Amino acid sequence: MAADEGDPDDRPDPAAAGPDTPGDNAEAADAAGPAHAAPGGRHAAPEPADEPVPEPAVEPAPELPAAAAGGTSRRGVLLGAAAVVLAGGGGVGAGFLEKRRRAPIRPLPPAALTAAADDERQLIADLDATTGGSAGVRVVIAQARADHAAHLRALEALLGSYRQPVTPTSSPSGLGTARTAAQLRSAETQAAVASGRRAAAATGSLATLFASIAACESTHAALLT
Amino acid sequence: MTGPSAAVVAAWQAALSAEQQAVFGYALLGPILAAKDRGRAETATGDHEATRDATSAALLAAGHSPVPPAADYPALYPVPDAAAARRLAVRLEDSCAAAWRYLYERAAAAPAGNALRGVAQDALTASAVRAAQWRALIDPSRATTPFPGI
Repeated sequence: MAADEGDPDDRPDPAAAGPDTPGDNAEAADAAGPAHAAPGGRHAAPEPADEPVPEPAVEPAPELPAAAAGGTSRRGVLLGAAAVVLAGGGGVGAGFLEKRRRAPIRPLPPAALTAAADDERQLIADLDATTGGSAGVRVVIAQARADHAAHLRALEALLGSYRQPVTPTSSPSGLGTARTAAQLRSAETQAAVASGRRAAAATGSLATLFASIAACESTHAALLT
Repeated sequence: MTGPSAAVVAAWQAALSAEQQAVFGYALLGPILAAKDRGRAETATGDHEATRDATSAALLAAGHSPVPPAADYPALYPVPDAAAARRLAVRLEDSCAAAWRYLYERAAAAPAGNALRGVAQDALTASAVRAAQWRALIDPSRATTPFPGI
């Protein structure tokens, strides 16, 4: 029975268990939403529709005699249309660059914040992969999973106010590992220590958030004892 | 080197008040608890007494007069039965967790308050754990809270 003390043999394949868990990806997507939609963010860069499109820089094509409408005239119409598109596109591009010049450059997120979010993702993945255990352990796992998801939402909301790194951080693969109850307890204890250290090194509301997360993770460890 | 700001001292005194209330509250609920829960309550009482005394001593050492405990805590009544006693234990611990979390927040904002962070973190965590353990006795599926003290 997985999550029972030291009997991991009859657990299902964690690689199969992780991604099948309903709600996991949905929650992550929900949490990520505001970050990507943040004003001025990488994905919220200027919308072409917001910019006035200048008038085309070409003269309207002269009206053709009905008898002349055909081969060469059609090519002329097409060229004119292409010129209109290019001119309009140029205007949009100019607007895009102008908006980029005006947008404030946001800082990259603190490393502690990024690492904390990564740790929460890994804890969630491991909890999802742990499908065995006694009824009592299962109850704690369900609550710990919900708590870590809440932590991750809070951290990702904060991350959304920072510039997104161009290269991804060392994010977990998304695949968790089935754990025994003792291993989960150890992981929660280590997480609490890490959160406490992050709190001590941070300032303001971020420090308080880490401190509260550390306390929560200690409750998980205590209930798994 | 300056001492903690007035805001930090006020939060520190509030944490002491929460601990004083917890000591009083456990004395109130202890006899009403089921016999199987009394050992947990006695341990919690000892922990809160130790935290109260250490907090008073630290305030004195920092040059501040610790607030005295209230003569009574009417908001804790009534405690009609063992189930209510468990719920009161949760309330006491949640109050302590909130007070220590608030001190942590004040200390994290004040340049001279950082020395208190370790104390506040330890006390916040201790109350969060005790609250979770009491809640687990009431309803095992609702034992934890994602952000203790908030």
